[in-house]
Amino acid sequence: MSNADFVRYNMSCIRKDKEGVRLSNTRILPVLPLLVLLCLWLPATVMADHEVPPPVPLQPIIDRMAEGEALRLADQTYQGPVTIQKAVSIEGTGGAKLLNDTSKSAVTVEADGARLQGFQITHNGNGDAAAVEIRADRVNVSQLAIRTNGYGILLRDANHAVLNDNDISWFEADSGHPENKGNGIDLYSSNHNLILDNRIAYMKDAIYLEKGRNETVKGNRVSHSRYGIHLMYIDDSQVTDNTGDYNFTGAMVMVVSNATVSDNSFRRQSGNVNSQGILLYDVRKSRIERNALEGNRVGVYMENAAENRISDNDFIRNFIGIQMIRSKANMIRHNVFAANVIEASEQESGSNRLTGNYWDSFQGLDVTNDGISEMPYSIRPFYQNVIARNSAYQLFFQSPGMNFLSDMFAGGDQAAKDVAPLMNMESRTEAGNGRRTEDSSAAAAAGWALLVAATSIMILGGIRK
Amino acid sequence: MNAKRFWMPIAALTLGALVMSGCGAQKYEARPINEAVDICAVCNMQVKDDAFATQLTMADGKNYKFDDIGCMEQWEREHEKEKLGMDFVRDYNDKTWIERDKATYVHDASIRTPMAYGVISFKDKTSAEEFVAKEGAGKIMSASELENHDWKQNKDMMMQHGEGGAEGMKGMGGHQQEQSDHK
Repeated sequence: MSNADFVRYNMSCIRKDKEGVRLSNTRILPVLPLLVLLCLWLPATVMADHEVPPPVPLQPIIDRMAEGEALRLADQTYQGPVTIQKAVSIEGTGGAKLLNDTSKSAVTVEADGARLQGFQITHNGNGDAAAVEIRADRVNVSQLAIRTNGYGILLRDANHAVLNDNDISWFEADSGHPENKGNGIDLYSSNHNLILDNRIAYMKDAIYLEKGRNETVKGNRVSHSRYGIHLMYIDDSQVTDNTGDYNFTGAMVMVVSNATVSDNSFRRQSGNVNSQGILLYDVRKSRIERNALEGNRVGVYMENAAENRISDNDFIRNFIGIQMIRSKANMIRHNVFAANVIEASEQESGSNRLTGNYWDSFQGLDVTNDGISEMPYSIRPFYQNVIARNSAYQLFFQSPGMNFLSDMFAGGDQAAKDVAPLMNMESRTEAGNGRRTEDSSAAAAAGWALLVAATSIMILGGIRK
Repeated sequence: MNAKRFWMPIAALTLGALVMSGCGAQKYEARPINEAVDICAVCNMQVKDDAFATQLTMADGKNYKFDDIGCMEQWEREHEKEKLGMDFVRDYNDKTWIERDKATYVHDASIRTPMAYGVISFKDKTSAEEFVAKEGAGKIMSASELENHDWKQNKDMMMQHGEGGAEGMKGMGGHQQEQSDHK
């Protein structure tokens, strides 16, 4: 009998009592409290008979396994921590649970080619240990459900691992103080790893990669963490088709060259005063393409970034669409800038080439009727430069004086300008990984409802007169 | 009555002058780190309230915080023409703020710091020596020796693992070159 069954049984007891009261006369009434008490007391006694069996230590079972063998976990609780030193496979069907209360990692993998699949891990130790710690090559970790009080999955000098379809989250759904938590996936000094389709929430950095090459981060969902995907000193890597919501920063790309950040969706990164969709710091020769950056404080923030191609992205409803500081020789083309408070700003930068973008606040002039404005569109950096020195001047945002001064300083040769801005949002493929935000449709519905309401009030009001 | 009226402004002026002269000998103090809003003035990462955090106050009173000593050194090199008030680092063990020039430093490629410069700071030489003895690695530097330190981010650690070592090294050189071009 499961817990749910007890509840059901209990409920039926009470229901029967009530029927009894209704059907018979008041003679039964004095007995009723006793019956109810019995019903309440019963489950406790039965529980004592069916006590949860103590966790089964897993290490002795693994020690008995031969190289290459596969272990099928039963749907019960096992006790960690365990160390795997043979190329074995440990599989469950989702119901098995590994419990670890020590400060060691719940599972430490030291054998090349080992495999973990389809079970739950509850890692209660805090500190630098993790639910899974990989110190070997070609390790495969899939379909694990990890709740951790430390880190999720650690990779240390581990190459060619595949981390696929795992669920990783902090032991409680609390997004406060992410800096005091561990990272979801934490890679250090490891190359050629695949991180695919994982769901990570409420951690410090959902996916943190430091010192590695040829990493692939694809199709992951990261949310409620400090940085969704944090790359440090990672060259020649791919970050594609990921979704980030409610993080301080969606993708933090730092000291990286030859990376591809494409087809990601970073939305609603605005909870922190310093948040942004994508941050590029000291990034070179990389491609930032077809990303959807919506409702963030800053869509793309770049500093010391050079020779990157930023194309076909959607910058929608951000406070600042794209912010460039000390960045040069970047190509910014075929992006859509719509409903941002400040579309683009550039400070201490130069030689960035802007062409063929769509700016919704721009009134162009298309004489040749080719869909491209003959008038260039200049970025006005004046306001940004003023508030960079003294943030109190933000009080003058959109004030007539500030607009006047911005106009005066616009149009100089130094200011960045889109030489061929688009007249219309061209019919190009949508950026991001396909999942449009629900907000826009809800807003449209609300708009229609308001319109109908207003019209009916006007008509009804008119008739009464 | 008249005399009193006459002396009041003079007294106020004298008092004012005293207060002003007190301000003249400005004393700089380290400010607490607020993890919710403080980001590194160089690399933009969150400044965690830990032993790696550093900060400086310019003569005009503007305060900048950094997540790594290397970031502060880079900032000071880029702004060497402006007047610095005081710069602070932290003791690795108890996180007390120390003036940069009074601290002792330890560098080793294996020390992990937020931006991988691998330099940590101590309030005295003894605790630095204790750290090196315990870890079995690390080069001890005084503040003046730190001036000549080669601030290399430890990106090349991965090259020790053999992959594309020579190519990576070349990439680093080019990268450093580009960075100095920026200034």
